[in-house]
Amino acid sequence: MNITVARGVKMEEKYQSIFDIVGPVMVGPSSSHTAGAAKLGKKAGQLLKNRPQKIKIDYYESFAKTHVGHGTDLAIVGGILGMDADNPALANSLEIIKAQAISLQINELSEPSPIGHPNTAAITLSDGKNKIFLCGCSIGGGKIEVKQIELDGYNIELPGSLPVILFKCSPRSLVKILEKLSDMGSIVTAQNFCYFAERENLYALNLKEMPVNDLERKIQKYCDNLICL
Amino acid sequence: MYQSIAEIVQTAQQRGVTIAKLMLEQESTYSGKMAEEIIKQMSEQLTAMSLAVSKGLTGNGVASNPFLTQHQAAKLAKYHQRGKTLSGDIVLTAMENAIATNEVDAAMGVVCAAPTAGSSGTLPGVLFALEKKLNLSRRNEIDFLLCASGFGLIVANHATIAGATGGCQAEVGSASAMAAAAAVEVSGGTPQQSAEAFAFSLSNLLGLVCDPVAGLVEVPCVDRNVVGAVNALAAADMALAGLTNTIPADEVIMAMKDVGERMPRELRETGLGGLAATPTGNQIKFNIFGTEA
Repeated sequence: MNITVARGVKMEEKYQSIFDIVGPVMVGPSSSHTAGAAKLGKKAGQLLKNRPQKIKIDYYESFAKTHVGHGTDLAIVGGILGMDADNPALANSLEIIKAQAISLQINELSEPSPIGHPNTAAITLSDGKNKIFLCGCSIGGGKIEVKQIELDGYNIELPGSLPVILFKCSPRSLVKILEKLSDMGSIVTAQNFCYFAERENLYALNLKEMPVNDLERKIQKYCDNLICL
Repeated sequence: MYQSIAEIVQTAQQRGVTIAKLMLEQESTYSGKMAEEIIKQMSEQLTAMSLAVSKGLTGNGVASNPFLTQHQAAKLAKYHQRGKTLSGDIVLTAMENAIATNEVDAAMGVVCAAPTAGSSGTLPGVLFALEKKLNLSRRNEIDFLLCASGFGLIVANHATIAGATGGCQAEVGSASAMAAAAAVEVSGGTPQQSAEAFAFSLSNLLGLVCDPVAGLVEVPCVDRNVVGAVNALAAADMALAGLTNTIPADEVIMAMKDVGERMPRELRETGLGGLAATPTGNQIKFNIFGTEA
């Protein structure tokens, strides 16, 4: 008997690096509910750019049931403040925002995740002037996916994988940017956009990996509001 | 990227190299980094693991904030030192290291997820128990982690390593299977024996539910890493003895995924079923958070 069923099954390569498996080095207790949550928070913080005045977190499914016990609140808020998953100060993040009078609203929602994953958090941040929204999930081992983003009132749906770069530009400038990325050897795995002004779109490009060479300097002149997540 | 355990084993056999070496090459291709740089990075993960173990075993060890798990690793180590244990030295050392790591994790200390934080005690549990027995060099230990990560990548990409998706079998089950395979390799076993150990180990933990009391990563997570580590040692010995598993490793992963998909959500990291839903589990949740499961 010689059966080789599993061979030839093309797998989904959500995890590519050995350090996705042995790693991250992180503050406990949970890689999905703490480390992954910190990363989701950090991405939301990067979207807003400024320190928020208001934080709202909507939890779904497993996140809704276990966020307190898993330190998820501490981790997301710490991430929003720019902390990484291995920063012991994550444990103090709620005290930090209290001292800075940043308001925090947490909702445990009972409906299923809008993005179909049990570890889902939707984060809304505002600094009084700008507001952002990020909905993502923590898929295990500290790995996250970002599925929805709202920036300046414009919504964009994403396939989930990271890194992702967001920017505003005209379709003509996009061609230039894609050329530059190609020159840098960067592979674009998905491209999404939404219309936001005449001859200008908000684009989101999922990349296979973030180029090491000074991406911002090379493409900044073709676009506005470049954000690298 | 290797797509299956069968492919990894076949390649290692044909080229006469270790699985650790194949993983080093794969990572180098993926990240563009030189082997030395990858080894250095893995060495940092190893350091994080050993720091967590020593933190959990030094003096009285650590206690988590709600004090559900506290000082168990240190207590076990003292019992071990008295020399009258039922199971032997290696097993006791593996148990202590596993508990120490997960107590640090529960106390919001720094650990290295492998593959997750909830299952972070299993790999160091096995690795540091073998360190003395096999006289492992630091480079051998890095190879252990490289080999383990190769198996973990296949599990994570074909099935899941998240308790919320597949239950504890996806976390401690995966960690145990990774550790078993790596233990075989550092003991001088063949790539096929690593795959056998992986298959034994994961098969033995199929169906393991994720039912954390009060939604904390404490009960039963800390002690389940003991099972993960001891099961890995047993599976490695079985494989090294030449025993073979009827269901191939890749298909055991398919089975784990299947079981995870059929598992009710109450048993997938929601804290709503199993141990979490017992009268005592509920009482603990009420005492800590003022709400019942």
